[in-house]
Amino acid sequence: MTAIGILVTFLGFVLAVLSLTLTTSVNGRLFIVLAGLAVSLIGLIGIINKGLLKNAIWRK
Amino acid sequence: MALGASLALAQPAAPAAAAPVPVTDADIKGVAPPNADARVKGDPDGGLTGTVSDVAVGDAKKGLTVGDVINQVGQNKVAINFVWTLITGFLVMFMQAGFAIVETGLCRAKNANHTMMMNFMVYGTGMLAYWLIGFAIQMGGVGGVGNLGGAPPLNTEHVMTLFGKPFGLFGQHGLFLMQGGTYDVAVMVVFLFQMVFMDTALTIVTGSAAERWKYAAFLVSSFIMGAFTYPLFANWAWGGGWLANLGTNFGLGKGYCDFAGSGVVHAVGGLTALALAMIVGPRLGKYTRQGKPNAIIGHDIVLVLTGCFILAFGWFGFNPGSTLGASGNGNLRIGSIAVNTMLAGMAGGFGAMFYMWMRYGKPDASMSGNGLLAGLVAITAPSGFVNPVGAVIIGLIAGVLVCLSVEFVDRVMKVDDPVGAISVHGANGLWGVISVGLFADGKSNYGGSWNGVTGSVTGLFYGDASQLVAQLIGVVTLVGFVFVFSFVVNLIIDACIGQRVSAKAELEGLDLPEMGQLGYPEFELKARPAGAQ
Repeated sequence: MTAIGILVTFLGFVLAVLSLTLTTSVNGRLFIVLAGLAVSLIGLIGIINKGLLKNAIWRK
Repeated sequence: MALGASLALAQPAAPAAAAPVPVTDADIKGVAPPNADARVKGDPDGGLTGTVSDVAVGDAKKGLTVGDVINQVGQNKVAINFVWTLITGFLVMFMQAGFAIVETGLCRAKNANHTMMMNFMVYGTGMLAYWLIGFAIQMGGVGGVGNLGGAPPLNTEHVMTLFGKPFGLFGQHGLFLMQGGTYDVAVMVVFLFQMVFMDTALTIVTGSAAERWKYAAFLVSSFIMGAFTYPLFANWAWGGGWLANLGTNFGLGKGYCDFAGSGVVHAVGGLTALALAMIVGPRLGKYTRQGKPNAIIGHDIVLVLTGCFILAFGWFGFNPGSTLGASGNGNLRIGSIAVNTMLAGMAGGFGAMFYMWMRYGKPDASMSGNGLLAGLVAITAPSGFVNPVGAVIIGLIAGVLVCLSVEFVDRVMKVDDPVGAISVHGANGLWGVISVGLFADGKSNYGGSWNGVTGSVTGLFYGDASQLVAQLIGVVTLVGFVFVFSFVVNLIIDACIGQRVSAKAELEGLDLPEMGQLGYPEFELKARPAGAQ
């Protein structure tokens, strides 16, 4: 779970960098970068953190 | 209108512009020094001190020449900028004291020695790592710092070609401040100023992992952050790396703009703090078995608010000092930058205080302090590019954002952050980076260009949407790269030596088990149930 989360979070960064070559329009780049940010946040909050909470110390 | 017209008529006609008269060595030689007899009697009003006799002469046989005067003017400019940058760097160094007492005050008395020692030794640990390798990675390829006389030895950046454009990745000159000709007066000034910034980022992390972080793991983690994590992103933003060149290479505004480090310093620190807090887990008693958070209050609000004031004072070094000079290249903006800094801090304090007052019925002291810091963090990136109204709006939003973020981190993510470092520095660092892309008013002019692109930094509200895209790419790099890098590094440290102390040590308080000495040995400390006010 943690490894998948790390990959998804990093994928958002890759998407933002790819925006530089996928289009030259400002709006197009803005859309892709925002999509990259959403992917990174999903990876961080939705996957990595959620996975860690499953084994949180307060559950034991 | 009539009065204005009569005043205009009363003005004498402007004289015709006179042709410039060249100054020769003969003219210079005609300038007489003060009378020696008068000088011997003292100079109470300062009128005789600092005259032609103080200008260095290059060749004693020729006497004073125009060339000598020009060289003196150049050295005066660089000297002013050296002194400005060094003194503001000293102010930033003093922020370590502010961080230390804010964090210690927000922790329990049984961990006072441990929390203070982390804040104390992060200064030396970070500095060692940065001197050995971090500075070279960050600034080794910056390619000249005009305000400080050039610093030409910092001229080698490792570049990768991607999409047909050069992507600067890391610098290669400056190891030990000797390699590559970096034993240089200007390089030393750059090092001191950048070193204290790096240490600020490192000390943010000690807050989020306080009260349960193993001291040995803290040392290793801080060393790696000072050597690699911070310098890498700082190179991309400030050292001539690929983010700074988004403007020249891809037409995105003036490239990624982060005047004093909302992203480089605070978001890097805040996101690493988040990674650490997630890995070490919450303190014992912070959450019930159902996941409901308990408040674990700090032991000294006086320390906390005093520390906030020290930090606000140090911020006058952080932001205005980031011009790296007071003379030339539009550096008189330092007045505007200092005022923006204080206004945003004020607005942040008010924003947080009123939010807490309306939501919980009382103007919470620690959150008001965090609101002040949040405003300061948020204005750090835009301080050099926005006007006072923009600064107040940015600070006010930061003050409310820090409260919302603390609630989100505490209740939704269930990440235990004893001092609010993730929200103050992480969330508001990112907001500061974005705010440049919104509020930069296009009126700043630092020598006619920024990041190699002609013109002034201009945000979306003043007509340039592409600047916002550059800023957002910086934000995604922080979340998608810096967080991941920090998380993986600290997972490895966790696997090798363990990040968290034993439950027994945590319950006892870390002062004796980790440090061997109580912070307050003459006081009897009584345990209080978590959540009790």
